[in-house]
Amino acid sequence: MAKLGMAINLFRCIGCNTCVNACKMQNSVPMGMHWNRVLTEGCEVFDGAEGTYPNLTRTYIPLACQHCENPACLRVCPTGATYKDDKGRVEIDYDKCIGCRMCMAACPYNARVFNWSEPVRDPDFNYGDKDVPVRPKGVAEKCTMCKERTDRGEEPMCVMCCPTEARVFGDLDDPESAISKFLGEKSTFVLLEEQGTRPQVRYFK
Amino acid sequence: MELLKKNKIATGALCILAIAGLCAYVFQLMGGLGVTGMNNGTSWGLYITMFMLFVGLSAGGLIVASSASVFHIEKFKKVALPAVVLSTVCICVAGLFVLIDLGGVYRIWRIFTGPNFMSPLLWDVCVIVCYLIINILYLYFMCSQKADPKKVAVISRFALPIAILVHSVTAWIFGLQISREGWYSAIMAPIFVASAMDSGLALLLISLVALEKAKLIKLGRDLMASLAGLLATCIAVDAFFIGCEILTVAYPQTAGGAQLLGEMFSGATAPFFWFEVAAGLIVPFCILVFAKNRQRTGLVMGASVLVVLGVLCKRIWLLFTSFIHPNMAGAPGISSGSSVAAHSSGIDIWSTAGSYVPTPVEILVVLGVISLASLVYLALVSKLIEGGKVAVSTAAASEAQAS
Amino acid sequence: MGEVTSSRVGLTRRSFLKTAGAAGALGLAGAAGMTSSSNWLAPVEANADEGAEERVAYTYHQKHCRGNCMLKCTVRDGRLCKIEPNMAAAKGFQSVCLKGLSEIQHVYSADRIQSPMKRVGERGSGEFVAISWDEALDIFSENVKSCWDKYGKSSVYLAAATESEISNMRNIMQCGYTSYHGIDIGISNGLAPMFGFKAASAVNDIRDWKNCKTFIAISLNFIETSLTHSRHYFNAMEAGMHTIVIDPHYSSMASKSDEWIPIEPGTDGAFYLGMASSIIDNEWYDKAFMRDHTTFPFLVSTVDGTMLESPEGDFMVWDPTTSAPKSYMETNDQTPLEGEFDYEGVTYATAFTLFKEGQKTQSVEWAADVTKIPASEIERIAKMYALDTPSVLAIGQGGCDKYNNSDIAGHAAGILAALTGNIGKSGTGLGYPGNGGYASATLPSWPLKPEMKTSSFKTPVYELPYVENDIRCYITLGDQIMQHFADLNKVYEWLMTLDFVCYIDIHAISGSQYADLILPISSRFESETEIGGVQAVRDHIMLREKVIEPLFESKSEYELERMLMDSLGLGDVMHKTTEELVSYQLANIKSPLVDQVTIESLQANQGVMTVKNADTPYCPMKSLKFPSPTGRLEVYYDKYLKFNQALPVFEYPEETAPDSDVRAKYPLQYAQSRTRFHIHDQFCDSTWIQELYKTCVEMNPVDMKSRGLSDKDDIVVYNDRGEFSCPVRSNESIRPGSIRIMEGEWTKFMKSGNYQNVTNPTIIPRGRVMAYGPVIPYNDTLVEVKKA
Repeated sequence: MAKLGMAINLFRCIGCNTCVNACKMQNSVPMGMHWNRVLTEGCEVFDGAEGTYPNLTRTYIPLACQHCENPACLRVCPTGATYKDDKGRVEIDYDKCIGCRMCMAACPYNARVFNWSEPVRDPDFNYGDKDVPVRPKGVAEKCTMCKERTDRGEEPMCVMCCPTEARVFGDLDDPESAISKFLGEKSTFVLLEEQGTRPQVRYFK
Repeated sequence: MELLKKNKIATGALCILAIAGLCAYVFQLMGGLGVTGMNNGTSWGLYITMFMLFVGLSAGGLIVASSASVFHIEKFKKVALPAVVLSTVCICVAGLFVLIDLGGVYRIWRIFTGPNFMSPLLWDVCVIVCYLIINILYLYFMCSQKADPKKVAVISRFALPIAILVHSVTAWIFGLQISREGWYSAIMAPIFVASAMDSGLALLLISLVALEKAKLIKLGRDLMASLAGLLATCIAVDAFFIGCEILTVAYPQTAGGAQLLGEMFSGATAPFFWFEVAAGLIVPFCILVFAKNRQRTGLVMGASVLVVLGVLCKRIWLLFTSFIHPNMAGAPGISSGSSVAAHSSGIDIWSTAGSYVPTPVEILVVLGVISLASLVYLALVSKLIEGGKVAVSTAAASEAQAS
Repeated sequence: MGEVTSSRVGLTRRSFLKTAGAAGALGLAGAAGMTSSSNWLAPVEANADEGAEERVAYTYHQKHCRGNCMLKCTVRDGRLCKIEPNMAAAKGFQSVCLKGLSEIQHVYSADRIQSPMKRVGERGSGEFVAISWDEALDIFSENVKSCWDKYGKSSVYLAAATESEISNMRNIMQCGYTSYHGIDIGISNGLAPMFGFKAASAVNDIRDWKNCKTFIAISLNFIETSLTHSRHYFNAMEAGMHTIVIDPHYSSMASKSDEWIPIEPGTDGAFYLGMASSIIDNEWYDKAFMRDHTTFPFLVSTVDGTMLESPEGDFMVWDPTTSAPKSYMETNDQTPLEGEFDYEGVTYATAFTLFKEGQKTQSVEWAADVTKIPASEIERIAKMYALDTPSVLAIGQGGCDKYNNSDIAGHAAGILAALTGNIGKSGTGLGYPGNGGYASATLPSWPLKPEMKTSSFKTPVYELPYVENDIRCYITLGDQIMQHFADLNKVYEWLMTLDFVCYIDIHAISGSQYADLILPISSRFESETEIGGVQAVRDHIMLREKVIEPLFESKSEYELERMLMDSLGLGDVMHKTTEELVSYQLANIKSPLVDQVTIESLQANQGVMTVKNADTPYCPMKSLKFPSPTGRLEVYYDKYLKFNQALPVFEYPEETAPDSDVRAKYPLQYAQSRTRFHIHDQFCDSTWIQELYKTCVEMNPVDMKSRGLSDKDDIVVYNDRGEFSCPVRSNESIRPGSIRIMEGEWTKFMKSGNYQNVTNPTIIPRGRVMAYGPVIPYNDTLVEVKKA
């Protein structure tokens, strides 16, 4: 058993959206949806600011599935399509998904996207990792923590491509892993702690 | 079949609508749910609203019918049969809307091969199936040649708790989701039961008056008045629960609560909220609270229609208000998904706040289902009442003897 | 106005995809089958079959952002399907950004020029038809030869984007040429004289920032414009670097700094001068450094401002022991930094004394008034810069650089370094820190015949529309029309008068519609041959392998260059294949840090070689030996005496000055910035980028409210020069009184017009004597906006 997790340095996050496109490419995410997005916290416009000029603050928050220890989405899935795998990731068995979207209503982070129609890709072919499953219309999908890459022992694509090295990835259960040591030194927080989901994605500033 | 034959124009219109709805559904099957107005921000829409509404509407019939035998309210027995028919049709409609809403309906068998008993949706499937079976058994025992009033009495004793449960479980689909400010509430199940009672009773009243007008049944002023009285009580209970819920949300003055109530009081869902409060609760209650008014068919009908519409509005604000503001607020927001309805590309795929407008396809499907249901109801009710008049009366008589 | 669209030539992207080779087509059919409704009950399958052929190739990406990302590309069934950083690059430079990743889509963009096209309507109408390469080359050679015959070879002008790898054509054709292109040179104009015109900055490798204590970034949005290098900025901050960002707007960089100091646009020079005054007033300057490494102790005549020279031509300093001037080379501890000295009837003062004197009118309080930064803040920052050292003064090219007073700012910035010694040492730095300016190795260009060189002229390119000149044929590699001119309506008028306009690019960008001939080139991912090119940047020699075949009818740049030269009968001087060129360049590489490198050795190492000492950050002028004739920082610019700029004297920009006449009519300053989502006009057509960013004018809510505008309204931005229209977004980050747009957006993606329709093309006389010519004062533009 392992518990894969991630820590994201919000001070280092420059809102560049490289992780957004890295995820889109790796996972063959169709047009119109994203598994991973970067929010300008509390703003109506990207690169906006909170406060009044010149007393301003801005925080970029990269947001994807939090791979919760206590996932709200998992409980509500009527067919067990959403499951927690042996590496501690929250995954979806697309063959079991009946498209009821209970999970989307339950997820506090709006991490899931749905194939409302036949997925449209631009360019019009299945780009990305060879082993990533192609999702049909009518199923929900989300960040898999790059299941295909992490199964091969690689880092998720967003971690690999982050230009500011803002993301630390590893096994939270292994005290020797880089992320465990890192979390031992840093004080981190989780998003929407009050929801009790206990995310395996941590944030710090 | 008399009713259908007599009103050829209405029947024709309903048939056309039903066929149009079917076509729209086939279109949706081909194109996916992208032909609806739903999107990743507002992931449930008109279908789930209708599901909630019709689960509720099915309540009135069964509650009245089973109260008749459980609480020995003799006068209700007269209308037990049309009531149960109404209940059966409504629950079928509710179930149908769940199926229509599924993105992968062809994988529905997965529910049976790998059920997750933690899912409120699974509970709902189970309880709706139970409820439907009870309705059918009820009908069978009332109408069969070998109708047995004792069995009706036994079924009634199961019917009432199952009816309560079916509304509660539907409420729990929403009420157990901590992620949604406006749903997560212990009072959600009582609210759903109360809404079911008032909207169900109102619809029953409407249909009974209509049947009386068609000279299929004889309702009588007294029965109507007493059902209307019950309706007034239910409205009051419903209003009380809603008041409790809103006060609880408002009182701590949390940011999330204020945002939610802001949308309900003066934001996107305000028209629905205020319609429900004014036209769905206050006006009908004020009409029906006076015994004199309860005798007047026109007023009772008007109040009943308002109650049904009010509850429809309530389903709308209850469902959608909690989709407006994502917990993680910030630009660019949520990506809509490749929704045809949203017609978006480029930066327009994003939205910082949830929005939803049903598409013509969705509206056609909904109208089609309701038309089909009306046809089925009219057919069933005219067949069963004409064919079963004897059975009902004998059953009622023998049950009266038995008790 | 219509733009070039691919549908005009009847070749839509979709039809291309259908004919993109059997393998690709099969892949598409397979993908469609897997997800179609006829297969409802089939289980979900993986992206590609077990048997799908995948191969990996290495290339490099854009250099204009200073990224030069080395990329590992995976190709499946002939399609580019995955891009990752090349891990063979040196640590810290294994990078890719959102734009590089978007190439998965962008190489197949619908806005690619698919085949050569010739104009059929009137010039500027945007009506073109697809033609064969043979016909295209005929049109090219006929028109060029006709210009040669009628007006001579120098009548042909070849404008090439920074990104272009075509390097020989301009020389072979002996084109008319000017090095004055008006962009990214303003601050450098002010700094270059300090280094004797041998350099325009002294910036250390960004990895050296971790040795810096005080980092002042001004008009610089580095973490957005050079975003792949941002990690080094954060590494330095974690190592204790204190960062202060001076910017009118709350930029990305500002949001990631210790302090953001908002400044009035166009007044950076006043800020530096205010800092200098406070350094002087508090004597925070480094006397020994100034005496030994700058021209501050040099003697200047108080009569005419000329510098005193010995008969041998050496500049002089005062010798207190002999009470006479002596050569600066004899400077010692006793050499005074300040003072006025009478010698042979003339009063001489040291440059420092003159500077101190001049600064009396440019006090901290004065600077506070001009810049709108409180005097106490200027003083505090000056103190940190001078005393909390080493310090970096990092200056961007997007803000103050786009004003006619940027040379004054550059000069003043140089003086700050000269006063404090924050230069030529580890942890210091002065100027634009793009870090793309150096390469540890130089690759020679293909040897041509000696007579094959351009004939230079002095008129700045962007002045061609306004003055008599010899240019009759304009060939542009990339959209130099939109990117290198201001006030586009005037530019279009000029283009209409030319004999021949040829547009060569990957994409049909806004300027293409004024072409007579459009020629398609391919991207960095495409090549006819296995080897597509080589570059040396920073500590890397990078090989470009073929990732995919050139798409559509496009040609790689080298191939196109050969074809064009062949059409003129000049092809024999060129390399025969790209591989021949690359082999030649590698064999003749100039660097003590590279032993031997070949195509094979590069291929064996994922297309990358790092030079020796690649782990040691590059620091220029580290010995404090400055490249000027005196070996010192030459702070006194007697060359600019006639403009009263021997020492920096602040001047307001013309149009945006507080008392400008234009202000009453057009009260808003129009700022052009660069965004992480584009590299100038590149990537505007990427649908992956379009999902993340759409060009808009950003305004402070205060300015929007007073004009009755709401968020996302379409607005018209206008002044007397022209107008354009696009959506407006409300953003508190924008300084009230200014509006901001991200430059580079194509006209077709705007609601109407081009963002350059309103920009200021004014050239001031002082600009003409500057090292790099006058600037295009894009940001010195006033506009008004209204609801569209």
